[in-house]
Amino acid sequence: MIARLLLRVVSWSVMAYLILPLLVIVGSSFTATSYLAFPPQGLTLDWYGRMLADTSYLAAFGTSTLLALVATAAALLLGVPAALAIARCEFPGKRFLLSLLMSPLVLPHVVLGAALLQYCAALGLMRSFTALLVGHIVIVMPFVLRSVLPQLTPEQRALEEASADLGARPMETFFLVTLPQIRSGLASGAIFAFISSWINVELSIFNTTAEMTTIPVKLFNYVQYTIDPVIAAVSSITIGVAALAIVILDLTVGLHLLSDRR
Amino acid sequence: MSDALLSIRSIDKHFGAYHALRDVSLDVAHGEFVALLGPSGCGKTTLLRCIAGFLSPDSGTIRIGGEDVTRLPPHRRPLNTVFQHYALFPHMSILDNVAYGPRRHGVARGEALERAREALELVGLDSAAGRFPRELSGGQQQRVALARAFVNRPKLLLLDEPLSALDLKLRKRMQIELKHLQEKLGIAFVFVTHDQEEAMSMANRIVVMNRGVIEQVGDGRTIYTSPASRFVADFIGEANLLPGTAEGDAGVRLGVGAALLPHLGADARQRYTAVLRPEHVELLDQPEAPGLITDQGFVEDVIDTGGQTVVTVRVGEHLLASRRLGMAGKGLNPGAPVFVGFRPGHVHLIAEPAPHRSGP
Amino acid sequence: MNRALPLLAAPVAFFVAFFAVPMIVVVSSSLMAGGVPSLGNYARVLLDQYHWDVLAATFRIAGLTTAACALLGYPLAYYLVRVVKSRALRRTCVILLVLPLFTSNIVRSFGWMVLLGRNGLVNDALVGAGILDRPMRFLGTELGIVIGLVYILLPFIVLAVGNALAAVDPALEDASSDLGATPFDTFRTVTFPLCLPGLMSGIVMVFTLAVSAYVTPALLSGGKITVFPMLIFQQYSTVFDVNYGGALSMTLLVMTLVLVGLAGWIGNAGADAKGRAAR
Repeated sequence: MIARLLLRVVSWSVMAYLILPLLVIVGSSFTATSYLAFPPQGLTLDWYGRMLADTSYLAAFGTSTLLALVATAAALLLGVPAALAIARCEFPGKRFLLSLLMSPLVLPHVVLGAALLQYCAALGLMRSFTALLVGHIVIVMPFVLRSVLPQLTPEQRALEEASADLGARPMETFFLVTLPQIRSGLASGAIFAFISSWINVELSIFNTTAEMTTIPVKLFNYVQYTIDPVIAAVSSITIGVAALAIVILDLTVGLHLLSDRR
Repeated sequence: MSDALLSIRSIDKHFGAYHALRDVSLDVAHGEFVALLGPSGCGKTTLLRCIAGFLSPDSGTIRIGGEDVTRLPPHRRPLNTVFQHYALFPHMSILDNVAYGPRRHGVARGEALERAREALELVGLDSAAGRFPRELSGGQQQRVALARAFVNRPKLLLLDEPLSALDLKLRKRMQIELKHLQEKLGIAFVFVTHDQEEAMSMANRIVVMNRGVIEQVGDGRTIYTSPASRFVADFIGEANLLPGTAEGDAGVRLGVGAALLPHLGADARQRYTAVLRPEHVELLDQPEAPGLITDQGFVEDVIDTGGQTVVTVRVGEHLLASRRLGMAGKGLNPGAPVFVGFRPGHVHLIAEPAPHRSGP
Repeated sequence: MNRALPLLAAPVAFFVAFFAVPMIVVVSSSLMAGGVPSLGNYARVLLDQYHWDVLAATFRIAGLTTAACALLGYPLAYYLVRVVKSRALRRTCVILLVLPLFTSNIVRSFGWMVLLGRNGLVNDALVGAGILDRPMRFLGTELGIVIGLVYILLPFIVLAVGNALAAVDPALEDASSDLGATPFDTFRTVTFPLCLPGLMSGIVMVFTLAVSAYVTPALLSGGKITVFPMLIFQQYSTVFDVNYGGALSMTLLVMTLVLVGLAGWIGNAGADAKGRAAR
């Protein structure tokens, strides 16, 4: 009984620990004071107004969104065929190849960012959108592979064989049978890919400039000098985007994490 | 046989070091019902997948209607398959599942749906057209898979253990339905199964496979009465397998029975495996009976299943099973002495390929 | 059936062009000094006590973070999967767990900058409750960085352990208690071993992410503590010494991979031992 009570106390403390900082940020973005105050003193949307008035924030939001969208699309276009080939074919070095494609998940992003800075400088692409983009594609593609590969099961394979057996050409099979079957994996892979790109700092920071920067990098540079409620407002927006992504994920695919085996 | 619908010539298939098919050749005629029978791992499914085009043999050729299809991808082969777990498309309605084939062959949507409806009618499921696979029972899904496979009007239908997921009663009923449907459609069936009863009751010809090799091809009766190998004898039905050695022209001496089994033309010292079905072993109450080879033994075990009784008798070092109709086991207790007898004509001899050891 | 093999052409070409080759460029420049092949950069990294101090701090922080994550995350995962009965509550908790994961490190660390400040909520609470006489310094200490990192990485452990727990067949636990085991014995001999692989993969993930974290330490260190990724960043962004920076990058990479490999090896050895015991 005591163990159970202890478990309950620890669990709820940890949950509180997980939520508190986000609550503080969102709360203090509404404060009427010129410094960050939590609980907020007064209530105002002033800081959101100031953020909107500053076009550099909007530009950064734009860059981040475009980057995340294009990187996600590219990761899908490259990752889905790769997943199909890996699931369907036996060839020497398959495990090595899969480890290579998944390694950006565990590789320090600072190292990868530095490598791309040096490499893109040599190619004449230094601090360009292209340089940012290729890096983001590399780090988000593992999410696509990770969520699509488990769906390419033997049962799924049997459906594709049935399709071919009934006379469908490979492309017809892909669009009529494979794609509809793996769409939940595609959706969750795409959302994880989008968010990972959207929140990245460690990789982006090497290839951004004062003019072309992403929202997290801009925040990072700003927070090191000043902390004011505008920052809290910008942060709150990003928290809102995250919440939106999670709700979409839950409604479309369903967050099956921690649930009983289906 | 140039007029064969399906003609397989000496195909081999390896999976790494594993030799899945060894020099397999087989012909299937138009409208024939052929069962590929064997234990799991015998190569029957591999052979089926080679015919369907999901696997490509290492060597040999496969022809369908005279055309070499060995290197043709599955979607270009003039045949269809009923998969073991049906492989119905879960995101399509039953009607769309069945219409899928005709649509892929360029049939207009309306026409394809019409054909699909007809096919569903044939399997008695036209009322389920608008439903989805997961809403149907196993038996219904099985019928949909069947309709989807024959709606394309192939000359050849491959069936991969299609009834294995059904319960016993339903399986029996589907066996009959399937056989009737096959006769009605006139399509040749190649049917993979590990269930000999299923093969016997449905197929015109049975292909018994073991370890990647075809052991015997023949109708059910031939395979049962004249198995070509020890494996076939043991795999098909119950069998008492006894050792036998030829004693010149005098006949063959079996492990059981005082008398020699008359057998002409045997080489001296040729070794045999004698196959004796349990229903041909009689229990006697006297040591001799006219026309029977007899011996004495002791009851080892009696299993009474109501309709029939199997009595196992120990004769010397051999066990002999005898199957009798009705409650024949009455009064037979383990350990009791009993006489057994069988007709020489019921013994089938299989010559051993090579002597185990050289004689003195 | 290797008809799908050509599908690999584009993704592999892309990964070679923008992942493998850049990494090779870093390796090769780390082996160059003054235009000639040399191990001088590595000598500079490895013979300088300062680098070892920074590495030690980095791994100390990562180790503490991982330990705290495991100790806090395991109970929470167990609670959410095995104790919470309401589906709605569990779903809400999962969403709250994933929300920080979907939020930038910056934003999350920034929250802690506010909370851990001299006049932040944490100090106010501790002083107000009489635990501390006067505000304590968190920012610029290793403790502050660990608090921030644990916060960021905790969801990984909870999800890894939770999914492993959810996959454990409750019938096994029932069987254990049916055979006379106390709840604690059942946990120790059945539940815990079965979700050990999940815990191990969570630990490896948290540790690698903690070692390579740059943003959180940068924000919470207040410039007073240096971790290894900061050294790399300085070389590339301000000094632009790609040879020396490359050597630093490779040092971090190799150290991380060795530790990950070691953890994987220990995990496998454990699983093997378990497998043998089961046989």
